[in-house]
Amino acid sequence: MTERGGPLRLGIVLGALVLLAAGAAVAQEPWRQEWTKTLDAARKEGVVAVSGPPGPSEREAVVTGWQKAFPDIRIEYTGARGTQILSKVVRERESGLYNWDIVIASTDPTVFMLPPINALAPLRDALIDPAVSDDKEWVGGFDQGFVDAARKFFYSATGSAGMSLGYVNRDCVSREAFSKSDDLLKPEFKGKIASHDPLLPGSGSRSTWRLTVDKGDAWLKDLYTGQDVTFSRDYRQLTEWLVGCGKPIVIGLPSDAFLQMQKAGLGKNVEALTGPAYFGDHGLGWAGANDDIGWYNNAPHQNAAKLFINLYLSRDFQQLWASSNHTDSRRIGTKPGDPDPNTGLNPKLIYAAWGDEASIRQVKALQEKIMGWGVVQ
Amino acid sequence: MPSLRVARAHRENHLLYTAVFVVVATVVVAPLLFLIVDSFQIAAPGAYPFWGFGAWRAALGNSDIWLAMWNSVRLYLATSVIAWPVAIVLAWVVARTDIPGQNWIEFLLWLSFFLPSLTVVMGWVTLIDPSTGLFNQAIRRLPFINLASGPFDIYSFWGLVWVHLGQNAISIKTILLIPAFRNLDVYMEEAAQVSGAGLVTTLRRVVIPLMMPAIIVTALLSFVRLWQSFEIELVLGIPQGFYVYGTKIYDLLNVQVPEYGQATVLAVLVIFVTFPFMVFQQRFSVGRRYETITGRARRRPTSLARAKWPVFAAVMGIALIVSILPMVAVLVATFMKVFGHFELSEPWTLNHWTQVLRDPILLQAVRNTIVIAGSAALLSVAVSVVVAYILARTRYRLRGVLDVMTWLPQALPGMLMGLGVLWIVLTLFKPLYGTLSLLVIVTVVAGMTVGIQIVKSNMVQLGTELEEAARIAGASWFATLLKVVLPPLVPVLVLVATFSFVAASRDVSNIILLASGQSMTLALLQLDYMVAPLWESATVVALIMTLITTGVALVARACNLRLGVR
Repeated sequence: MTERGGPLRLGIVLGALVLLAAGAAVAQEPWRQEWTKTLDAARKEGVVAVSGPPGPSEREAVVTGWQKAFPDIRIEYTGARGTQILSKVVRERESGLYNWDIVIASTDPTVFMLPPINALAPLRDALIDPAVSDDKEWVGGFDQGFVDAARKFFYSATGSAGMSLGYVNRDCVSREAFSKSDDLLKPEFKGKIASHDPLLPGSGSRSTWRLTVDKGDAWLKDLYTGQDVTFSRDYRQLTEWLVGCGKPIVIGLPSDAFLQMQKAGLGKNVEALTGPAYFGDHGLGWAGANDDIGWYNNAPHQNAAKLFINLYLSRDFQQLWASSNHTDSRRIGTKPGDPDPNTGLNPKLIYAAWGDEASIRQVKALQEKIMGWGVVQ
Repeated sequence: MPSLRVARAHRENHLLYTAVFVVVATVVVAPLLFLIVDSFQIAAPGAYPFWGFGAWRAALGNSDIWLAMWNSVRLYLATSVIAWPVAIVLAWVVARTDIPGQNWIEFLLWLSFFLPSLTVVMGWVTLIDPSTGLFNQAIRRLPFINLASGPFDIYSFWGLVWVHLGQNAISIKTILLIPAFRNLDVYMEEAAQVSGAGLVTTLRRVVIPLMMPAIIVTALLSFVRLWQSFEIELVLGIPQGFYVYGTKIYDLLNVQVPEYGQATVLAVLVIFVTFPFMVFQQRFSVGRRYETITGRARRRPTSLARAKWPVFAAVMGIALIVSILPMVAVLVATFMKVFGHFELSEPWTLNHWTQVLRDPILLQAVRNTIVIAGSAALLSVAVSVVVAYILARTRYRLRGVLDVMTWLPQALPGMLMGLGVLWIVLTLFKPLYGTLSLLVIVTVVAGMTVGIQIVKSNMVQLGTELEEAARIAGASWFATLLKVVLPPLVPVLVLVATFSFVAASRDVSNIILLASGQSMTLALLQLDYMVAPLWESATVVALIMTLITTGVALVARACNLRLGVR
């Protein structure tokens, strides 16, 4: 039987639901209010000053991403290597000049230069949109992205699973001859291995360090001294050797240097050296690149800086960044930008940090030892 | 050497000279002092200042550094033994003989100076890499040649020497010597030939001795400069375990936390090593008479007679190695998908040009480069004239100290110079910080050694008689400088302006700590692409720089200035 008052009751129920939803929206209101207030204040500041990694794709991603989100606030982006820009920032702050709002750089040298002079502000103080710091939104939870020792100033939003030791060209090295790190010591590969200078910061020294976690320092010394490993600081040179089979095994070569060659049709049978065969079974790890983010205390445009942090960690921007720079974001729901399927992070797995301050200190300790061996100066 | 009368007339200008002395000391010595003082500061960043010898002990206690310094010296010696005779003969041929197309030959030498060094290095690698080099492969295909690799190896000591010779070692020396050779009065050569001396004897016994101020200054410039050389060695030296002083400095400035203290110690070490040479050239150039431009000066080319065309062929052979081949390499690199890989089914592309020309920051970088390099060129000429005049034509008491001070920017690695200037500016001239003017100043300071010393070495060739006549006729010091001293030096001044323009437009190391995104120059944009690493696109930016610089050289030609590109 249909009651005459049915539609009325349904209307009341629906009305109540609408009111509840509105109530929920009102409950969210504080952060939105803060967002509006910050946006207004940022508009008055008129500009945000960002230093970040060099490179046209990095510059374009940051500038276009910002201009799309906040077209009425100017962005001043300076692309430079971390060692250069941070040296400058340190001197400026010693002289009482506070010119920068945001720093985007790699873990080293940032964590060794900025926290000691108390130049960075706690990142969480800048977060307004609660979704940005929601643990469910990040592989390993939000806090796993902090790379500084205090775990509150400098944050890595991107990351690759595992790590590549380097590349091998299968046109000239068969899988039977070379399929694990121990094969590097085979006499047939003497003079055939090149490595990015392990004394320099970057992916080369990090992957070399990871190799020693499994094989030990003495093993690495044997490799360097016994196999006539050729060192280079030029990624292009290493890539040329790799694709031309002059040095068919290259350690410490980042993917972006090689991928361009492969895109052009060279080195089609070049393979990345990843997984337990090369690093041992020590659990999974992740590491970011030169795109960790922090914001300065005494930033000249604090409100614009807050907007930038929230934008940078948003899913849309992380997607833009990952696609533009061939990397992967830790933010769940973004598509991998790195064409290597092995580097994508799986939200269901647990990863250890291989690019945080503690790891970098171990890398530095290894570099000191390598210097003592006299194989590379 | 100026006569006593001229010196007396200059006495009233000592105040002006002292002002110049103070300015040079402020921009050159003060940054160095800041660096030296800071090298004793061993506390970590942010910690309470703590003083000690840590940086000095670490730098001087490193045995590798001494080997690297020795490597630098032997590389310099090997290069110089070949480059000097070639450069002197080349400069004489271009400036003093009737060889056809001499101005275009000089222009080709300039072109080699304009070209991006890293691209040229990669060009040589493409040709003579021991296994994949195109030239080596062609030789190995010849009958009776049975080699697995080589025969030429660019990753060797002599490979390094070859690339240095092909890049700048010959061309820069020649460019810097040509104006001095041009200023030689023909009667001296004629007198030698009338006395029965042949061409070679005239060159050896008359021309070269008279050119000694210019030769010594150029030699010292390249000796001081050798300590900063690292780009070629980074690519070709490290794979063979060959480290030089420049790569050591580069390392110290590019580790996780830059070791500015240790880098300063090494810079001081170089100043210490080169100091006696600086003093020697100062005493040598002002202690004797080298007047080759007098009131009766005549210039007429020496006839090469039947040797004209063989000499022309030999000179073009050198031009081919130092300019034409590298220029072709640079041009080809910008249109190839991957430079050197002709084996690709479709090796050519316009993508690199499209990418760079669509870059929204390109126009700003072009504008900044022209403003900075143009201003630096004009300011460099003014600074060079004033300082060189004090050094060469006055008896100002502190001119010896001033002379040595002008060498310091050349001896200081660019990033250290930038850091020193950064300190000075942040301490004393904060309003300048972040402006294009600061970048102009730092590029002028960085390039002042070449400008001042080249103008000075040419000024000592000027006879004093015209100057004395002008002063007796009542001309003021400034009028005499403007109307008597400078006109014969116009080719040198144009050279200094062009040289400064090129150096400022290519400068990265001196300005990198002082520039921002808003003061991006083409050289910094090139670095941006290089780091990416978009190597071919970086070469496009470098080629745009080369085109702008070439345009400036051609404008100088259009203005009928005697640059030698007529």
